[in-house]
Amino acid sequence: MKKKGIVLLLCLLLFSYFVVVKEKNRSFPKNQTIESVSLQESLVTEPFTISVEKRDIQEYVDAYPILTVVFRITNTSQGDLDLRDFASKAVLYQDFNAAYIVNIKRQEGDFVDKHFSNAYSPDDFLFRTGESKELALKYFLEKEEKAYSNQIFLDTSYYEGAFQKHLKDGTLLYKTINLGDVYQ
Amino acid sequence: MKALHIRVLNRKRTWLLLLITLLMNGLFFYNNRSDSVFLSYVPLLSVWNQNMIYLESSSGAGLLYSVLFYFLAAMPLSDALVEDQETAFRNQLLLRRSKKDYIRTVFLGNFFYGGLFTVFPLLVHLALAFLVFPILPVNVINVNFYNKFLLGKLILISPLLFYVFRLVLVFLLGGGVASFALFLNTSQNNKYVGLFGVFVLEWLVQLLILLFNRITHQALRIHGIGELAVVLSITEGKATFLYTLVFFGLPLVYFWHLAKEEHPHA
Repeated sequence: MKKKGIVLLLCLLLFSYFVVVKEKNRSFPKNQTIESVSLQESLVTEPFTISVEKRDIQEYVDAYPILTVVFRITNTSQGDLDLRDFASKAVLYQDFNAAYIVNIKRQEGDFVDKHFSNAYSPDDFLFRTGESKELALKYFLEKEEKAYSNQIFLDTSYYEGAFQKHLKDGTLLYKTINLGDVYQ
Repeated sequence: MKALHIRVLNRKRTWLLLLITLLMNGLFFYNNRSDSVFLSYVPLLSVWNQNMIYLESSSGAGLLYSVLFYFLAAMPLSDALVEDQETAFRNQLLLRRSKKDYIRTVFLGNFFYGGLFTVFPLLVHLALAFLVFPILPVNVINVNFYNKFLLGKLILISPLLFYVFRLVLVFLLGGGVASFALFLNTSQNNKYVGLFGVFVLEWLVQLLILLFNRITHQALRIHGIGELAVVLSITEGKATFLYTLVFFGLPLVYFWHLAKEEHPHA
């Protein structure tokens, strides 16, 4: 009888636990959508369209391969477009590992300017209405060549409206550009 | 085996386990009490990356766990054989069962409870973390994992599966440490050497590796058993595997011989 009572109490506790956990998560998204485009396909964000025209490994630093990704960005907004924060908002993921753009210099003659033949300045990421630019941006790759899933993740702030709309339906929205096998 | 269950439940050390669990979780949730979740940011803060297992020893509670891991494993039964000999309880037991059976039961019981005592604080922690942090969908972008995480890709199949795998791994490593502590206690005929001996031994091994690397200009690296239980990234596979094999093998060989001896040391 005592044993039965303990079992019943434990079942009740367990049930209450699951109810509380379920209640806690009621207002949080349960699903996710990853919209992905391939090479040379355009990804539409709110203020611009972006595509990767080509990508290849042209150089190595300390045996680390550096991937050059040629982006085509077109300003589709009604006004000027400021993408000076692009370096931190277009992140290359090789499975879980993240890599950031390395060839954007802060000033003339700095470390980046000396080490990369085509280093961009932040002002190169300013677009006038309708302006389109091709930018060859570089990322450090993983030293160990494996069949990673290689994708450029675009920050959600570039499609905040669509993100919030999906969020209302309980879905997280992410937009990525699939680079395929980058070591090829 | 039933006698071992009762023995563990009646020991004061079991209360110590509850106290350690309470202390660690209190410390963790006090330091991580902010529940603000910014859904448009990556990495996304959720239960999958806001827990003691994921944060390893970078959280105060995790650091405490990494040190207490050895103690927790050795706590429940690693002194059982020495205690039985001191109280002459062993002689009574051996009247009713074979020595081989007796040693095997204590060895397996010690392994099981060593594993259970190391997993228990983490299990309680995860159960509490589910009450505090949201359960959110994960992908390679938002979960903030690394490629070197041991079986990290499991999280993409099922985050729960990844944490079950971690708990099973910790259970096995805890069992291994408990076996080594039992071996130290029994071979030294001392009830306490195993409680801290494994911890000291692992640090000595790391110190020796450091000295070896200094002298030979090598870059040998071996993950200790305690490190394997706490750290998610495994970078040195082969050397660590060999070390783990020796660590698990030594007590097995010792107790196998002990069970065969006519007049055992313990």
